[in-house]
Amino acid sequence: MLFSSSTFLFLFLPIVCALYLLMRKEFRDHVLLLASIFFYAWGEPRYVLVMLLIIVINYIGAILISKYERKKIWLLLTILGNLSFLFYFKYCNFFIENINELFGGHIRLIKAIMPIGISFYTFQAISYVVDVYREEVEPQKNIYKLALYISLFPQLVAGPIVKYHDVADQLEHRTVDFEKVTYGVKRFIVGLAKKVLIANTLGAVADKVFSQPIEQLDCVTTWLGAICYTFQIYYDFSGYSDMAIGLGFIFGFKFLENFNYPYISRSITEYWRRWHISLGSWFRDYMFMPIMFLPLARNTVISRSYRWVMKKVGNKTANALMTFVALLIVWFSTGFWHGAGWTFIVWGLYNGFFIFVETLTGWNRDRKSIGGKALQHFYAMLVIILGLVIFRSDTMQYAWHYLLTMFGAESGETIYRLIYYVDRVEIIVLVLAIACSMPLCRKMLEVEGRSQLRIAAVNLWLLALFILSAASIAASTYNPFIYFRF
Amino acid sequence: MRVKILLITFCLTLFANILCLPLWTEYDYSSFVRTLFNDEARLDVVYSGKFTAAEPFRLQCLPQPVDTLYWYGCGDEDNNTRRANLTLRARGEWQKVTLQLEALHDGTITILMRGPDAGPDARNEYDEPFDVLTDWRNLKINGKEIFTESKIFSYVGDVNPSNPVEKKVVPWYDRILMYDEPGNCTYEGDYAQSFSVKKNDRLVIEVEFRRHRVSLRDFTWLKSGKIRYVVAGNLLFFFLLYRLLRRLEKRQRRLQPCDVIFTVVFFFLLFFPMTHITNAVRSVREDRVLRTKPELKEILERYSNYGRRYEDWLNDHFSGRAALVQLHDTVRNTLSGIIRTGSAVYFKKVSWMFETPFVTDMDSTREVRNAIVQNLVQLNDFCQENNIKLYVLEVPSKNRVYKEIIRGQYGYDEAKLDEASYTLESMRNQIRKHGIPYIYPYEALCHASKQELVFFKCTHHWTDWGTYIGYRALMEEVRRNFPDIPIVSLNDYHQTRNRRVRDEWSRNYNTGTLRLFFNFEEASGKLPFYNYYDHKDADKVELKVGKRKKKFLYPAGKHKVMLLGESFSENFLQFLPYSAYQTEFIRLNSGWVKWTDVYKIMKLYKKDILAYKPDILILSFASGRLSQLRDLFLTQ
Repeated sequence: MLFSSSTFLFLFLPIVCALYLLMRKEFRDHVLLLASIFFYAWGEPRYVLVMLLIIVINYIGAILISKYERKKIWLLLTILGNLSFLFYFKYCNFFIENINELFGGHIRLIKAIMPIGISFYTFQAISYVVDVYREEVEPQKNIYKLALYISLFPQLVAGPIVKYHDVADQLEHRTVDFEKVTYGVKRFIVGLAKKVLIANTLGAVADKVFSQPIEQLDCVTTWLGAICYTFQIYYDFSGYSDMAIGLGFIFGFKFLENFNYPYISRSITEYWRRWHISLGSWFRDYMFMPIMFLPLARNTVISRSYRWVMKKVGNKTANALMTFVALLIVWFSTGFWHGAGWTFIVWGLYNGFFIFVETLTGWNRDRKSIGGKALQHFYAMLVIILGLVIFRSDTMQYAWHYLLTMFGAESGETIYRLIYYVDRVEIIVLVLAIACSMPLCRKMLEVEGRSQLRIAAVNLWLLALFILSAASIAASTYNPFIYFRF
Repeated sequence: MRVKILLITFCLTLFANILCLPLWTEYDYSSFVRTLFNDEARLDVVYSGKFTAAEPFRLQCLPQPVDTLYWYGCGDEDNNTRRANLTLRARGEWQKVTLQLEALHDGTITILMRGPDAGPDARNEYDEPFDVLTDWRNLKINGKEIFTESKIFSYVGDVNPSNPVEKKVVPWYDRILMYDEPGNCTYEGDYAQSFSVKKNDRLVIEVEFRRHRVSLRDFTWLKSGKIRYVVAGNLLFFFLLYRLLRRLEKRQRRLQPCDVIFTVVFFFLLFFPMTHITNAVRSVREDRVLRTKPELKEILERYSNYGRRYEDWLNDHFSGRAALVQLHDTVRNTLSGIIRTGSAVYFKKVSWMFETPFVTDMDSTREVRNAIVQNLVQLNDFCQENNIKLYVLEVPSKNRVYKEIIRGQYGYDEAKLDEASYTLESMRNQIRKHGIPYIYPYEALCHASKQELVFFKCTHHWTDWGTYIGYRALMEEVRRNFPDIPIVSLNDYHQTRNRRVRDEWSRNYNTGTLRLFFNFEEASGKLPFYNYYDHKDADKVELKVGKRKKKFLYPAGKHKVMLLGESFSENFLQFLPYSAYQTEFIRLNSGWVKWTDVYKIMKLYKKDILAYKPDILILSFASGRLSQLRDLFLTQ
């Protein structure tokens, strides 16, 4: 079930909200848990068992970690258990295809459809057991609370990836009041409008461009496609995050922000502090930092190797090498997490490369002059847009030719003018998308210290946005039978 | 405090009742607003009886109607209808209208006094027109009073009749296309008055009408069976709202009134669509059958997609869907210079519509082309065995003939359009080499398009002029084997002009397919006039119209002709039946045939061909359907 579907908007959401808000406090968690399982089972009835199994594994794993001396073994087993599901459903066929190609094998692909949201909830589950291992939180004795944390429907299918220590307290003690509900509703509407009105519109343009054979594209068209895709992915993803955060507020949860105007960044380092913040912080907390701390461990192979390197090349170089290795692993994993394909891996490494270079050169330091800031911003946007071309492309070959066409090194024979791709509506939406990607209306939803007139105006605008979004969703169901009209 | 909250709850419940009034009354807000601002009424004159190609009555109306539209209803072989829809200007005060009618044939005349048909926009989820009401009184026919008191009529009949009325049966049939079973129409009420007429009978019909004066009484007509929902809904709403307000009171926070209203309105908007799920089966606007609700037991099936099927059903039936779609399309159509959907594009600047993709699937493989050739050769052999001469007519695509328009708007390389055609031209030549006359009047249409439009701008069909060009190209080929067959000249025709499109089975004027593709209506001033040709000898043609066949008998014609064709053949029937003595037309894509079987000609029509034994068999199809000629001899 998608947030931007009529079933969710007009059936599931109002019923769940009504039941939740009018229910007594002690029953609210049950309502939410049942609703979340129903939400998942609606689209994936078979794979709800996978999610329930992961819940059970992590529940048992955390208890064993907290109870027994050999925590590390139980931690590793639990993490392996989580990752095995992810590997089987998401990555197995990728490895099989590559092995077949490399070694000329004929291993049959497995017939498994990836359960929706598995990348998100396995990472949430891993964050839980690691937090228990680190003794940051107590293991959850109530399996229903753990199930609620992992399966909570607002962030189940598209994030944000909520770390357990951020919500542990809220699972036990949270309040729902009218202000939170109102703010949540507003946030939800903003997210819905971002997704339905902006992302879908620009996505249609990007899809049109990317669906053309590369031989029929020229420089201008490729830039158009790349820019539209850049904004499509931002509004799609951040729209979903806004909806998730808004829904969280309605149910009394306060999730951390997932996007912070990433397109005002002046370096890729800054970009990744503003883009998909929950994923970036997950990799930082659960992969990058542990890797960086490995050399400090007592008498391990890695710590001994590190000390040897340090003696050979010096402290600074050894540190840089360690950082490089850590970034390599983290960004490989980041890319790979996004999809089982070489384009995703290359995109991840591409980002890691620029972060490494920025760290080495100090490029990401704050500039004082406007010219310097503008140059940094231009550099960042260029790197981001080109990276997203790789991300969007089906194959590396297509990405390569697309990039060459963008810079005029190759040019196809276009059969369409630009107007084929964009008309007035798309141009208006693109201009709005660019404007709204800047923090011009950051405080629009705040009511503290605002006049009634201003609040009323914002509320009216939000209601209008909601009606327009609902209209767009309804229009996507309009399906005249054309065939017979000949 | 509790009393205060009770009072507030009571007032809000009352307010909600007013908002939700349309859910349980026959009269809704759209109808109310439209009636308030209505300035039209409709007076329809319907003739039913033995069908001819000519007019069954002459009509004069005072005052002059704003618009007169003649409409064919399709019936069965013995009973058909012809209608004149007169749109009159309605005002707040009573006006008199006088109709003078002369019957030219025996039959039944029915007068319908109704509110306006406010157009496809003014439809509820059942695709029924909103009730836009008009008042009528003092109906007299040839001086005889039928009723004097004021009555309220909508487009579909009497509104809230106070007395039981007699059911009357009139054999007429009023559907646009031939999909529906022809049959009788029953109506209740005084809005329809029916009487038999003989040839040369004269009638004088006088009646007064005005825009309906809206009153609160109009909202008291409750839908049957809804009382229990009204009561239950009120109780539930009152209870929930009271609880909510009590909780808010307990919290004692500084709430912004704007936020309270905002949140309540938001949740109201969330709940509203589910309060009234329609049980409509078909959407006239989308021309399709709506999805059905899946059975609960499907959840237990192994590869159940219950969720998706349920969503599909809900998407077709939730309340307010039509209004939301209309809002979206209005915004899109207003802002866009080029309106695009998945299957067509409309260039607003030049008011041209084209179906997409611009190049059809006939940039096809060699296997497909070989199969087409084989099938046509086989069909030709069958015809020769039975002494029938086969002619194949391929109607060129509008995209090809008007490629300059597409190129001008999109920059689309017309060479791409032509590329496919070069391959196809060699296939056509191959067919001709087998001795099969294959007519592809592309060049003739391109040349003729410089004189007048050969295709309609707002639909995919060819105009009467374009059809005539195609007809001439065909007949010149036919004359090589049948030198005595007459070819009609346009001098044999009455020429009329109309901005509307006349292109389908019913031969009714319509606004094309912009509404279907884009949910959009072009302003009539932006559309050109098209020339229409109606033969001067139309009343000499005996016409029989059936479910999927039309039969013409024209004494001055020569030879027996059978035409197998699609919608492009409909305009053809303005010309072909005046060349042949007997013409039988079988519509391939009729509503009685599954769309996958449309071109399985030998499976479906072999018996008809052998029974009819035509001298000439014409197979006509649009360019876009060329690949389906592979199915000619399929029997499965």
